[in-house]
Amino acid sequence: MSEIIVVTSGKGGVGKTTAVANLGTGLAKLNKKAVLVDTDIGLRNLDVVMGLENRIVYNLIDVIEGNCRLKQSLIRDKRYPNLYLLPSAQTRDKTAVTPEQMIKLTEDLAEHFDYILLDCPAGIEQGFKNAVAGAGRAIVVTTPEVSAIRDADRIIGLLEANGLKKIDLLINRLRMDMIRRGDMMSMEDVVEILGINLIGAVPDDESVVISTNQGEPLAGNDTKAGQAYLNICRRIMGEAVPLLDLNKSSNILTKFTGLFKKN
Amino acid sequence: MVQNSVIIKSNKYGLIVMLDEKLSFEELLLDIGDKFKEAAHFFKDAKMAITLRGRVLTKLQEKKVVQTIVENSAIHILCIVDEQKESEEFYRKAVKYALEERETHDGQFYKGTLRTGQVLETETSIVIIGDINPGAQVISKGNIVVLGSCRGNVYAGATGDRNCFVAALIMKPLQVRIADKIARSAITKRVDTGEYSIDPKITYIKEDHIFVKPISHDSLNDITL
Repeated sequence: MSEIIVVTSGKGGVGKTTAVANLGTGLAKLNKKAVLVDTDIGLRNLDVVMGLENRIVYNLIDVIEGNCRLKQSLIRDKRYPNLYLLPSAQTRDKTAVTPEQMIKLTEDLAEHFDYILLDCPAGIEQGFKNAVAGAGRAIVVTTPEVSAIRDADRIIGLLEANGLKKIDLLINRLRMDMIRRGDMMSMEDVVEILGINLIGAVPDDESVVISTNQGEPLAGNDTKAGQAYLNICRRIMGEAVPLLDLNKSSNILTKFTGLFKKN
Repeated sequence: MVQNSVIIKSNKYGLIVMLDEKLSFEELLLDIGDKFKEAAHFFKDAKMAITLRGRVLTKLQEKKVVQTIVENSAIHILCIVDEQKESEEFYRKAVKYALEERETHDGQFYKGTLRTGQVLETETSIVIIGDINPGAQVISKGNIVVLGSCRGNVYAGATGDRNCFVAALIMKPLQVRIADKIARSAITKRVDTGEYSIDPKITYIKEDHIFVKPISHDSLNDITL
């Protein structure tokens, strides 16, 4: 049974594309067959974050308009043989696709993949409607900021109105030092307002910026963010994984100083 | 289809026509026509009084029934005997139903959380079992009671009733309006962290101002329903 998951947020810039890239990579590392679909027509960037932009020949619009077969448009990631990307078009816009076409596309993909991750564009108009059309579940990404939470709340309302029952929350860019000072909302505060299940929290980590710029997703490596993404992949697959303790930093220096402090 | 939607009984004095009450009127007329066509030779050109039973008909409908009977048979209809009992029963039921409707509308319930962008408008007072998130709106002609946290925009007494109130377990609305008065909550801390203790408050108009007070004997005394 394949799962079609839309990753959305309402607000732009909170980490949807980064999340899709990393969750897809994590799922592939856990031996699942995953395809990442960039549904942001006209402003594509999932290919850049994945480091696959120079291998694009056909895109989503070509598939929908019948200029090529689905298989021809999928780009296989050479690092992970189970991971594929369906890039978006750069020269058209959101009106080029209808929800019905998206439903057909996701149905076709479901025959070949365990997980289909749809990278939704920001906003609530046609782009959002297209991305949500074929989805069976949703992951709402937000940062612990008032404006992002307001938009996430709206999006959750729209998803519920569209009939999506399984909606999970991903809190991105948590800064534990700011939370301790009371300058940032904690995970519990965010969940209290939004009222949906928390599927994971990713800390604010410099290595994420480096990874997106270099086109090398970091899920599964030994940074906190990488561990967090991999845990989220496990939870998507149904495992019960305890939340990472984000308070301690994990580099070797602090491990040693910690030892000395105990003595 | 003639399936006993029309039954004809006759006695010394006249005809009793039992009509099905659920069938649509047009179909009923067709059935009446068929039934009377069949029975025409039996009645020949009798002169009879007629009673229509089983269905309440308007005067116009009665006329049409009689016309159909006359068209499809040779009966002379002398008069229609109006049986009062059924009409009375019908009217009694209608009045009872209307009164019941009125009673059930004196308080409505909404279960669930109202999210940003959602608007709930009600004619009557409303009890919300859930939260009102910031960016959501509730507009009521009556009172608003929230069994949860109220963080959005609430407008009670929307048609001008200053006696209306808003009550909530956690009262932190962006804006409260009652009738023609409006109040904003003071934004003391932009970051709403950890202040989720349940602190029931009630908001109402007193001496021409909006008051927000904990629910106690004093504040309840200030309210008139």
